[in-house]
Amino acid sequence: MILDPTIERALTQPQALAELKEPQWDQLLQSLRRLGLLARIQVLLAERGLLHAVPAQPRMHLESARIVADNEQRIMNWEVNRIQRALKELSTPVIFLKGAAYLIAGLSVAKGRISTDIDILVDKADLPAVETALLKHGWEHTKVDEYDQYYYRIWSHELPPLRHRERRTIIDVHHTILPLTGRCHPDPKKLLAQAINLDGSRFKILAPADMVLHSAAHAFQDGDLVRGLRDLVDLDDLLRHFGVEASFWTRLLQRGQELDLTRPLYYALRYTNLILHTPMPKAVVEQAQKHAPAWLTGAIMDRLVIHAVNDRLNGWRRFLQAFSNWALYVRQHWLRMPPILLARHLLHQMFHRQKLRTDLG
Amino acid sequence: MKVCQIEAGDLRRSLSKSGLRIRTGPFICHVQTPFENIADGVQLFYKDFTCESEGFADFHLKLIRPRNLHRVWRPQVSCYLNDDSPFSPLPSDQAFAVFESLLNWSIYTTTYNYLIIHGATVERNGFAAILPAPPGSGKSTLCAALVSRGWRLLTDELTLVSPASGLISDLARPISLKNNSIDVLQDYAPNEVFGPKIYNTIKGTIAHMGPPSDSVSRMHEAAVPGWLIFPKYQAGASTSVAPLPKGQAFMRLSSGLVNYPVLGAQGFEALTQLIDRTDCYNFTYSSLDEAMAWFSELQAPGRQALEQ
Amino acid sequence: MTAVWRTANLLTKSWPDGVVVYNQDSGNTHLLTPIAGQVLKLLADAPADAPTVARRLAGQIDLDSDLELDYNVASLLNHLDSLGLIESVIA
Repeated sequence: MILDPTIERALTQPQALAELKEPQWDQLLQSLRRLGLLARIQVLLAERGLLHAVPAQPRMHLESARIVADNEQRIMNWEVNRIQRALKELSTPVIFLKGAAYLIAGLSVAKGRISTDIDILVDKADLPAVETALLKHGWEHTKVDEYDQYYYRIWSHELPPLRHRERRTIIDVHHTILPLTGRCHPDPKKLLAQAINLDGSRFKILAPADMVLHSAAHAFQDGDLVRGLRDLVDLDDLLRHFGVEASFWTRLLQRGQELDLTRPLYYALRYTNLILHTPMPKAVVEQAQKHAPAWLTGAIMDRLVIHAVNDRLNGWRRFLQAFSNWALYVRQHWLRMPPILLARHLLHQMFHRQKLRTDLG
Repeated sequence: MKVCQIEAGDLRRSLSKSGLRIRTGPFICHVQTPFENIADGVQLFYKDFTCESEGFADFHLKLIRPRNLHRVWRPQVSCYLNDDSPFSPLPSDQAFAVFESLLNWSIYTTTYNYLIIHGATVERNGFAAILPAPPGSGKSTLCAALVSRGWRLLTDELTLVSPASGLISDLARPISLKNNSIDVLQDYAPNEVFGPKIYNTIKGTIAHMGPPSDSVSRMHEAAVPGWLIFPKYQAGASTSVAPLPKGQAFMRLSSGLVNYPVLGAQGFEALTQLIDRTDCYNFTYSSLDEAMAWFSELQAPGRQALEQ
Repeated sequence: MTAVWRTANLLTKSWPDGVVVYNQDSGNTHLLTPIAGQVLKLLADAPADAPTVARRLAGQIDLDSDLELDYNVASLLNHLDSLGLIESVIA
């Protein structure tokens, strides 16, 4: 058993939740809150007209979570509006990524998502102009530490995050979707070439296959696997949505090759199918299988992912969870940087975190 | 079942083992703790509250001894809300105050289906007076004095307004008094129930005053908003009242609302309705007697609109 | 094809001392003077350019339409734009 059965049911067969009694809701709400999926479940129940079947007391929590998520969406919509306004004088193409893209495209995956930062992808040559335009319209640098600035500009795939002076919202400006020191090198020019225009403007979103591949790369190679189940939920939704078209799957495999993202694609298909029972053509699975890792790596990944997607549990399991998360974190950075740099970076981050803890008392 | 129906020893044991689920307003709070001073506080201030030993709870609060040296040396209390610890450990003699803070925190951070105004609310003759409160405004002192003079206590800290009905919930929890106001109230209202003084907290010395029994027995009766009164305690000042224009009242209130930005359009509608139906005032005072006199003469809302 | 001003997605409530406005797009809340509130209402009823707004406003509050009013209205509109309450669109 990989996921707690009630959580699995909540995500894959929400209609079954209509039978839950209050004590079961108590447990489920606590888990969903820890996993960041409360709002998502409210959306699934609301869409199926099943909210009335939830007892009043637990229903309050689902409603509150939905209100928060709707507000996050409003904030993101406004940010997109303000970013477009700030960048409209430039002639460079700009691709909105991840949460902002899901929202702009009206995808079902956007609903119930609690997403704050905006990510955009631009051509490397256009970075200075974009940075200047944003700074002119009220954004400012957050990482003023010299080391952090250096890390981002030299080793990373993005400008250091910019925060808007008044709105306090963050924008990450990328020029590739994965770090330069990483093992996979998807060519950003290929992504730009296939990107879809919004309303005939210069603002774009990634093509469906690329969107899925980016999400997979983000979940399994870059970013924070501690988000675990939420990342899989996103991937599951995207695959179900786009997967109704047979041609999507062919495209997905093809683009996986073209963009050098076959390994993350393998993981994405494996774990969404295993944990959330995402439907996918057998032939596609077989093709993707060719890019599976060596047996030992695969086995370790299995254990790590299973721990990452589960709710934090008590006692020794909690310790194991913490260790797994830490092991995943180290693995992230190992994939991202040569070992000597990794040691230095982790030391620096640890020192920073200590300082922050002291500052907050 | 009511808390007072549980024998003291059983109450301590229950709290220590599987915990107790206590209803406050729209919420059910599950608390587990081995601390005797918390059990005493619950017995004293929550005696008329209904409670269960099992069932659904909105919040799971744990207040326990930390697993370190502070289990025995300079004993501390660590607190958890649904397995997350929002505060650093504090000296264990402050445990009851920590419990109250933790419950406030629980409500603040998870409740978005109500508009939450940081302030006290009391009710009389069918209308509620809301006292929104930045620190130093003296709202708890005023609130406690009003309660001692017969106003129903709805809440001392978190005023919950339902966007759907416009009504205010009755939480009936104990009033938290600080520093000088403790002695002031003990003099002013010696017949009220006071808990022990808790020293050296972040806010200084704290003591709690118990809710009157009718606040608790009428917990399911939400109140109609009548007046919005911004209190300000100013030593030596004479009582002065100024009607507050509604546009200003709105902006002042909204800037102090915990979750107004999150509630969006629904919050805006709820707030405009609230301001519309209440008479709004700035209220400066130093004498409790004069303040009580003024409050006792408050007319049903709507007169202010005629007078303006 | 001219540029006109139109309101964002707004909710408003008028009181004697001013108009509170909630912008459903930005999530910001503002307290405007009664006059500014009136200008917003004019635009909500029908998007218009600055001179048109000035003319309609003059008619409503019984003022003479003149350069000073035009200037004041244009400034007000720019200010409302900077707050995100209105935007310029091609009609």
